[in-house]
Amino acid sequence: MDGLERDLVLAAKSGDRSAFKTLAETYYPRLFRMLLSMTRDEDVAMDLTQDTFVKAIQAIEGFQMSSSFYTWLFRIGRNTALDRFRRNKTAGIHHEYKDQLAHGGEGTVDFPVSPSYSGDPLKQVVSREALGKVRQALDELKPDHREIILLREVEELTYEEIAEVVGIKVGTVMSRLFAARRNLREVLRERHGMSA
Amino acid sequence: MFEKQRLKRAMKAADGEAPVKGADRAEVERVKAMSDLVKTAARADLQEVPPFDAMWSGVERQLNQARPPLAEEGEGWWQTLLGRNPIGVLAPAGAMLLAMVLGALWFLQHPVASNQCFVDSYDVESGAVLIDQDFDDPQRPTVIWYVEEG
Repeated sequence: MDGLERDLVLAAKSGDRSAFKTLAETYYPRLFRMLLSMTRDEDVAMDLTQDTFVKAIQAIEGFQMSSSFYTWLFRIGRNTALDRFRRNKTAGIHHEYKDQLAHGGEGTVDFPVSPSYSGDPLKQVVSREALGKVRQALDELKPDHREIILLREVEELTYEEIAEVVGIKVGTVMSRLFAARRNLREVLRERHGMSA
Repeated sequence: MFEKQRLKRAMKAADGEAPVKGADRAEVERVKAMSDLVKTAARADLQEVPPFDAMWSGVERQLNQARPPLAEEGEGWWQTLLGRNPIGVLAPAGAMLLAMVLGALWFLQHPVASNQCFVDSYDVESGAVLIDQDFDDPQRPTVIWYVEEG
């Protein structure tokens, strides 16, 4: 936690709402995106984001500052989402997947890919269809595998930060991430005919 | 076994959690490429984030709803309370007052009978016992008299 963030957290802990608002504005896009990736529903993600901030404001006084603010916030967000899923008797994260790419097999996106995936090791143009397959493969993973991959790849959290957010040990993060990536490769290869 | 360890080591290196070893370089690149692929696919799916202010106004609305009503400046708490919902406040208060008055009237008309027994005894050789009880007035205590002979 850098000095400015620390000051803001301390001010927020003492009841300064504007300090909390500044922190919220900083982490809002990431939190919203994480919740959107869990729910795949913008309205639900927005509700959960608001609930997360309300809970965080109510709990900030007790925040021990032993972890970074955003991993603490992410953890509240994750638990809020899981509570909602439980209440709705939704067995898994992101239960209602809508394949948004089903409509568009056209258009291209630039991104770097591996030599095994294409001839050009540095940069390649990959069809939207291919990206759609990856997303579909992500959806076919177990919820905990999908979650850990998204926390690592999209949120770019370190192993330690993932451990804090998910509430597991760092060793478990490594094992789970390893298994999740291996499963993703298998799903891509076996069900979608892609080698990654 | 060793292969799995090697792959895990490569994964850690690809994630920046451990240094890259020469022998693992190919696997490290493979993991990195996979990461990029997932990152691109997942991020392409993410829509634009709605404006912060709209989201925050929802947070403040929830917080205000959760907060107990406070007196407006320059107003007594009862004025605030009555001003917001006079029927909602007055109706239960009136009902409670009425219940208290009815309860008091009932107790006045139905005093609680006491079963208390007062005993005073002393040694006597002989005598008579008189029981004084008014059957028409169950509220009146029964008195047992002892009349010493002589």
